[in-house]
Amino acid sequence: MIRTEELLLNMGPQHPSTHGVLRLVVTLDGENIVDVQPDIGYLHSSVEKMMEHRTYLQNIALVDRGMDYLTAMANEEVWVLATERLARIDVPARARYIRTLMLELQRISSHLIWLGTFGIDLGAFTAFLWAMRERERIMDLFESATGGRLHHVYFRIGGVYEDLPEGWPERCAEFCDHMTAKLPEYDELLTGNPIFVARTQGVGVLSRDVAIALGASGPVARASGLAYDVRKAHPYEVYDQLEFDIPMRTEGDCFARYLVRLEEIRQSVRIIRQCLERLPQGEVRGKVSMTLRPPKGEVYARTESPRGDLGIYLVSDGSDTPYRVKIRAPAFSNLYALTEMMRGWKVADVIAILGSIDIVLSDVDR
Amino acid sequence: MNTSPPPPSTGLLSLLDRTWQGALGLAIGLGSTLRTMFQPKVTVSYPIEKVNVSPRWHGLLALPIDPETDNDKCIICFQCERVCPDRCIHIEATGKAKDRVLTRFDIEMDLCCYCGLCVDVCPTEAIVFVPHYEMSTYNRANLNYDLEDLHRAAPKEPIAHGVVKVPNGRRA
Repeated sequence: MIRTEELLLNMGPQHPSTHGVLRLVVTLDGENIVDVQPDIGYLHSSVEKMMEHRTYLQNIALVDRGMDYLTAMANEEVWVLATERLARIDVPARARYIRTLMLELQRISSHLIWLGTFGIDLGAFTAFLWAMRERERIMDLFESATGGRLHHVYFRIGGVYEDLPEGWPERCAEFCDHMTAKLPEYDELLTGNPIFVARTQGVGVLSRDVAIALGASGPVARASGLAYDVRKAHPYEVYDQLEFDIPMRTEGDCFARYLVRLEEIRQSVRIIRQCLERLPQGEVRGKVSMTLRPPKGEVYARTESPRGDLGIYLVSDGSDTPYRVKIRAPAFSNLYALTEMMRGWKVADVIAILGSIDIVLSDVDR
Repeated sequence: MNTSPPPPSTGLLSLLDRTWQGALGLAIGLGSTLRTMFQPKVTVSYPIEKVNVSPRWHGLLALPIDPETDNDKCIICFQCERVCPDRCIHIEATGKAKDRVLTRFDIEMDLCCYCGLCVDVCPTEAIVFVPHYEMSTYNRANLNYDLEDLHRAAPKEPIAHGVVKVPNGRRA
């Protein structure tokens, strides 16, 4: 019998398909994957430590870029939510609706980026261009309301910075119509594409039990049959007053993760429409001191970021800067499930499986 | 429930069927890309035409001149200097109480993270954002904006919104 030995293959950290600077140490037996170990830390920015040296207000600008840079609004949300709970600050109703609106717009924009890059990973370049085209409209909406396209610094402790500009709700409603009209095109391009289906269906299966054991959350867990969404389980802002479904699949493969995210875009559009309808009048920002000093204590706030369960554990010692901040990053926990998903598949599936869990390395490393 | 995947069929009929399904799926996809070809273009060819950003754009910072007093509106409260996360604003003043005069107002735009907290805390709207985004330069020293630069940076007239043709734009 011919003696074979395992081959150790390095993918990354400068590989175009690893979505940033992730190094995968892949153990191969011929073409079959025996083991995959993700090596992280190339984008570590020590944001948790940096937050200890900045005031609560200044940290809003930091969580935008220090954490997941594609979902700045979700980062701001979890930070202001933690601070508001610790300092017991009330938020005006209008501001809560605006925040929910922005969070869902950010969810769509993040999922669109994922859709585009996942398409590129599997050789479908058109999806990327189309997703960017739709995302550009969201960026324009963000720009006119907040002044920033990626880093908004829009949420404030006790509200939002400014009210929505004139005509913004109409433009947003127009975008909702545009998005629902464009989604069938993605179905035509990807869902019905035999190559796309062949490369994703049944590939990289993550079972429900393993997903729970490894702490996977967000679309990855929901595609594995775990109907868990922080927006429903621990509602924040106005999610408890809105009607929306949690898309769930039981297959647990790459295709299921794709379908879950596509359905989430539809649900986000539904939430945005409801918010626009019910948007109350009134103040958008309560009076909060620039140098806020929350009382001594600790708090854990969790939100559903586009990637999953995003939480911040915040300890205050009564000064104007936090004593300790711990970020529970969804992409980090989802990356754990990678090894389980990949075992037994071919080396060509590495990219498809890695792409399907939607990691952002600045969220993984922080 | 069927737990094991169906065995791969090898018959000629199944092969033809799969080929047909594949061709159909591709044709539908190509059809939708073809449709897009005849839709209006969304790309802005940047050097020839450019996008004017929204009035709230986090761009260049400026100290506009107040036409009433013919001076900037700064009351030297140092709030922006204190709130800046990057500590890129430097303010110095001489005199006491009401006779204080601004002698130095420097912003190191290369350190600025465009968070807008200085604009937020300013009680007199003395420091504002200008919807301008072409600030790149070959020299870092050019990004140190002093009082005069910041006065000059303030726009004299409102800036148009949307995509516009650049008069002297040329292809890069």
